[in-house]
Amino acid sequence: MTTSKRPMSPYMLGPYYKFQITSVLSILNRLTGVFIAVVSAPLLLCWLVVLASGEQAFVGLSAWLGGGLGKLVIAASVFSFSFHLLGGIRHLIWDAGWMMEMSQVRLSGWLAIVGSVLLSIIILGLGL
Amino acid sequence: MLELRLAPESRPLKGQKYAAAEGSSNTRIFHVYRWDPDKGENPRIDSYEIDLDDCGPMVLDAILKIKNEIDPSLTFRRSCREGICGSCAMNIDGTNTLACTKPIREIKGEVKINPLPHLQVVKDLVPDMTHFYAQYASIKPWIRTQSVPLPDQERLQSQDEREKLDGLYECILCACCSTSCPSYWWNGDRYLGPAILLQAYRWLADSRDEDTGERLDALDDPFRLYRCHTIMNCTSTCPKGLNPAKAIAETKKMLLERNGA
Repeated sequence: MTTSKRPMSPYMLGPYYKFQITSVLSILNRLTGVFIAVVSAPLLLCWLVVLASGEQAFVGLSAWLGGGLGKLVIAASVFSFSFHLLGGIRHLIWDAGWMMEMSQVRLSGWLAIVGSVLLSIIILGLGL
Repeated sequence: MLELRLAPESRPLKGQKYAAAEGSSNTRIFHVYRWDPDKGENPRIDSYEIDLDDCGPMVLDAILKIKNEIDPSLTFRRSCREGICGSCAMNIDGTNTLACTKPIREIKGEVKINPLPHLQVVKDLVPDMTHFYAQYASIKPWIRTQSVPLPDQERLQSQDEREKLDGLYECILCACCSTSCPSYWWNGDRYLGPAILLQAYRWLADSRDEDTGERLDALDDPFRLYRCHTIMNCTSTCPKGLNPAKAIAETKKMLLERNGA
């Protein structure tokens, strides 16, 4: 009797499946990792190349990094590094089978959020 | 494959609205996913206003009230109404749980009820579980032994050995956890998912089972086991309070130890 093609039940995070600290931090860990790989690390390599290419190139890149967009990229890189570092430590702890009760997962999640913001402020503060 | 949106024919449209009887004061609106295989239309979300003073305390009571008093065509699975059969697993208020053990008063505002996520819908709140059960069968979920048992004795287990099954044997295979897992949504064709992996670990942890090596061989696969990225949606949603993510972590540890890290 069934003639219609069966639909897929809704699943999307947000409208159909609640965002929770579990899934949000997992996604954030991925996004920060991608940002480091695609933006921060190549930028760091560029900076090293520029260092070796003499004063003129160095002054040019320094000026760009000192501008609005440059500062934003640096701040995003520092936060990505901080969060990905703490997120990675969480994963190492989980891989040992520890801290996997929900209360502990929520606690370590909030620690990673607060800790990465603090770490970012410290790193950026040291650089200024 | 990473799908971020539903195909156009799967997207739910607005459906009908049913008001509560006049004079009811303590009402709540339930938005329920409907799809009729005989009509060939998109799924729709029907809205039912329910008088909570004339309804049992659980979400399942409200769904039964809708079926009994408003629309007998509403289709869903239910059986034990006490959280032991796993039939009424569905997505309620944005997380997966059992309708029979979820109190309505725990939900703020209007109640959204959808089938378990990212499965083919058979009708209304009934998803197709064929693949899930096939995956369960694939782990050979029964005791596997090589030794010959003594003729006058069962395979005995110490209290400590038995305790290792606590938190595992209680799983009712409702599939709430597996269908809460983004990794299972996108790789469920090959990734076994939290429910089946918890069941697999239940046999790895059983002192009477003698096929640990083969069980680990079968799991040692980039997709079957290692698509678990410790998102923890599974443990967060389990209506029985179990911890599939921990069972998976223990399985990964067993493989690490066996393969000699």
